[in-house]
Amino acid sequence: METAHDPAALTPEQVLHEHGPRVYSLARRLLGNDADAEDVTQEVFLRLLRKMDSFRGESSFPTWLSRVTVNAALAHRRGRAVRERHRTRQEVDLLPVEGSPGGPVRRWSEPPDQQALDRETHELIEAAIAGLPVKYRDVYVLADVEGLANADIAGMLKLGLPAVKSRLHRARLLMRRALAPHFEEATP
Amino acid sequence: MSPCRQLARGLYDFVAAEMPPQLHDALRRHLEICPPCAELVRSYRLTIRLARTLPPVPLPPTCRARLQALLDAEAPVQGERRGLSPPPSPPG
Repeated sequence: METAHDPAALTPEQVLHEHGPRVYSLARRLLGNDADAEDVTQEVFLRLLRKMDSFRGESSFPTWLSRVTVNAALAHRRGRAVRERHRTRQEVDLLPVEGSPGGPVRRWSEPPDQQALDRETHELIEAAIAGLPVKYRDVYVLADVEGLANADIAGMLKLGLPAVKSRLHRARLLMRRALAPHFEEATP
Repeated sequence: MSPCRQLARGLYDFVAAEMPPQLHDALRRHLEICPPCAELVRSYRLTIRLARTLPPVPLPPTCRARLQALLDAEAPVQGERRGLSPPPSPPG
């Protein structure tokens, strides 16, 4: 749930304390490595300090901050070689169009509640996210991890709403496939 | 089209409850008699739920230090923008 903040009421140190981990997390998940995430986080905070007055309150501050972070991450990504594009094409070709399991379906074990998920499980999910092709990872992180609305994501990524839904669906299928070995119950 | 195929094609809309109610109800009834489809929906929903359990990635100490250095460097600039006087220079 997003909360409405008046960023002008926060000192830069408070902004760093309250929003630093969120900005870093988003950048880390979009870019897939620590070094790039650190660069982008610094870039975002520099913009934040210098252009806080460009926040007009038309969206919530967290949504605005997500948009600034996504823009910075995409610009950063464009600035370096994108070898992953080739990988994207290969993986898309391997992915079935529909979600049909196409074989015997094994039951997934029910994971415990949010608080009870251990670090190892989080690492598994993070690794699966990092393994997503970039075009699916972007949408998945913004929608399912960050909880942003599809319309906001469409605006941030300059995509149509159908494209956001289609990519999100494929990302979920890829995540499901990547996580299945860890969550499927053993066959008796 | 078979219900299994309909569900596979409309899985996103089914889970998001963005399909016509009549079709949604028909597919919901189908899940009661088709274990593979029921498991597909369950596992699809679980992947969404798992993503939402992720905590923020901790800010690495190196990153925190860089941001603090940035704040320190920008503080005088921010002060000027707000019309604050810079602190007086130490005597001597």
